[in-house]
Order: sequence, then C-alpha cells, then structure tokens
Amino acid sequence: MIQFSRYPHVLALFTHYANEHNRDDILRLLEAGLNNNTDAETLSRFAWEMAAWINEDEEQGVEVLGSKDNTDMLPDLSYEMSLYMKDHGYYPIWERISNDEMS
Amino acid sequence: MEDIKQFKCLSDLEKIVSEIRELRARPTVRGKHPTLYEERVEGKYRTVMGVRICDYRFNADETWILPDPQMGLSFSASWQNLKFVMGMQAKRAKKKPIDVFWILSKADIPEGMKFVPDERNDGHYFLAVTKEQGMSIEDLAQRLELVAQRMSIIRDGSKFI
Repeated sequence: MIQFSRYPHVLALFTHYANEHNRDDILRLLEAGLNNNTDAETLSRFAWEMAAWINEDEEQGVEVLGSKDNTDMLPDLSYEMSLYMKDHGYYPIWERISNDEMS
Repeated sequence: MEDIKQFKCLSDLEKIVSEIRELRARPTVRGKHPTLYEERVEGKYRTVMGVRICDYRFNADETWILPDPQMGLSFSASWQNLKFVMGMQAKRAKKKPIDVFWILSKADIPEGMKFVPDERNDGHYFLAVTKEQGMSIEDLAQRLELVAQRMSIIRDGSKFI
C-alpha cells in the first residue's frame, strides 16, 4: 500500500477520486505500489486529473471528505507526489508529466 | 550586500525565486489566508484555531505545540516546488488568481519559530516551532498571523507558469 505519511489525507483523496471515476487501475497501484515507469506515468497523470477534480468540486460545491473545499490540500498532493517519486526513483517522470500538464 | 538584488519588474517570477535564496513562499488562491486555514472539524486535516493538526506536533489535548524541526507550515524555496503547487491550484476551468505570499527567511520571524529545510524534500521548508518548551496553540496562531502580516505579495503568480 502506498503511504503518504506527512499528509495521510492525500491517500484518502486518491481513493475517493479513483472510486468516483471507476479507476480500478489506480486503486490497484495504491495497493501494490509502483513497479515500473508505466505505473509512475499512470499515477502522475491521475494526480493532475485529481487536482482538476478537486478544483471542479470546489467550484460546484460538491462535498468530499466532509468539505466543499479541499483546494487547501493541493499543496499536500504536490508535496507527497514529489516525495514519493523521489524516494522511488521516478521523479524525472513526475517532473516531465507535471511540466506537460502545466503547458 | 551580496544578497541585495534589483528587479526592474516582476516579469520573471522564476528568476526572482531562483536568485533570492532566502525567499520562502506560499502560493495562495486569492481570498484565502496565507498562513491560517479555514476551520475543519474532522480528520487528520482538521484545524485548531486555523492551524492544521497535521502541520505541527500537538500534545494529546491539542492545546500545546511541541518543538519539532521537521514539522511546520509548508513553504516553497525553489521555483520547481512553487511552480508545481501553483500549477495544481491553477488546474481549473474557471480561473482564479493565485497570489504568491513571500517572506525572507532572515526577516523578523517571531521568537520561538524558525525556517528549517525539509530533510527529505529539496526546495521545501517548514516554519517550525523551535522554542524548547513549545508554545500554546493561541501563541502559535498569533505568530502565524504576524508572519502573514509581514509577508509581501506577488499578485497573479500563476501567470508566470
């Protein structure tokens, strides 16, 4: 199981949005951890999709994890993804996909 | 004197963040407080007086903050770190301005607190409680408000991404 020790609510966000969008592949990655570059790319892309959904839910007043505004957690998401990817040797993939998502 | 730099305009936020090594920044969606959070009553991310439980080391009854150099309010100190946070905040259809609140680490940080580099994540700092005996949650919230008042603002920072 992937653990985000400093901001454990990041895992709660991943689980919520993976369930919400029927992303069984993400739930499996969260359970098993990342094993290769493809896994790292999939999780990285999903993290950015999730950022957009968090913003969208705030705009539309959708309650998630007991709040209609979880945008304060976006820096936590960025932090935990950067740290996890650094710790597991996938940071260049995270960096490339993040730059691509912002372009 | 070598730390003093002049920037004729704010056209290049990346250059500013990269060259001023003492700069500690928090990108903030306009309208939100730069150092204190809105009240959350549930979960690990809940708050006490605007301070998140997950950011500081609280005692059992959540009235006192214990010193811990690797816990504290999160600040970016590199362009990469700042850019990714702003990018996530800006990832929305209806754009909202994101302002970058910043302070210099050598600036007048309230007594009992200090910027400490994150041992595990380059370009990231904690505004940690360093006072040996710790401080009350009231004192911490007051100090974080003071830091907010001393911060400068670069408006619409996300346009530099």
